[in-house]
Amino acid sequence: MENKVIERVVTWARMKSPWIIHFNCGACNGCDIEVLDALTPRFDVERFGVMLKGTPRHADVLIACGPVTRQIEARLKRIYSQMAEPKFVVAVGACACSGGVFDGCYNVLGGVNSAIPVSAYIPGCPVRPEALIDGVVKLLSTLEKKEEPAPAVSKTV
Amino acid sequence: MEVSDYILVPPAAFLLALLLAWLFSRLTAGFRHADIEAEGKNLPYACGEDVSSQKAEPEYGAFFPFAIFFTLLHVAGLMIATWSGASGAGAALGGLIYLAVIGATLGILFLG
Repeated sequence: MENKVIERVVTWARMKSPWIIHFNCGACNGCDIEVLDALTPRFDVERFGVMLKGTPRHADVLIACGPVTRQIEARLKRIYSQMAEPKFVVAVGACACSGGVFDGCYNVLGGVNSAIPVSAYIPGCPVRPEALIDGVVKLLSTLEKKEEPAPAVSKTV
Repeated sequence: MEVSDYILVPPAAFLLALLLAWLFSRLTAGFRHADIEAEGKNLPYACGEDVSSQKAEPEYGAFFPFAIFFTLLHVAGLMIATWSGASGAGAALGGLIYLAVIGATLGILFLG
């Protein structure tokens, strides 16, 4: 009973302050710019407690953009391993979801899920900040129900 | 003496802080998620890259003469300004000799 109360408090705190780290796995920068647009004053996701952190050790959510190139694969896996538990990955953009137009290239492994487990997919080329916010909200809403979220898919806005 | 006088003694304050940190750690350890060991987890964060180690040896050799130079001039300035019995030819001669010694020291420092 006591543990459940504490877990609910921790989950509530996590939902109110999902700290993120942004990583470009080989994107064209289109999605990266949209992620920054979501973070900066026009959309200002910081008002929801979303904060961009400079180290994976402080982050709950890894925002991964672009297809995973073979050169970046080991780096992506290391960053993922350096995040504290529980951790979530959001694949941002068509390329991060499936490899996009780069899928099948000799130097591309595929989508983000080809290297690390993904919690939420946000398609779009590039994604719009509204879609990013929608995806993060969907991801967080799964936290209310259970600890390990099933992959959430956000519609393109 | 009051209780706060005992608590604020540095060793006592340190032990109290240590005890509180230990208690907080014990209280929160119960519901933290299990740590998963992974390769690279404990390495420094450098965008997933390896941090190349560099051996650094601070070298103060070039700085040392300038530090001594300013120290000597500073001390010389204080000495001349507060020269005791600053009246008469003897005092002036003493000051000049002192300055000459300083000059010789600086010469040894930069030229010797």
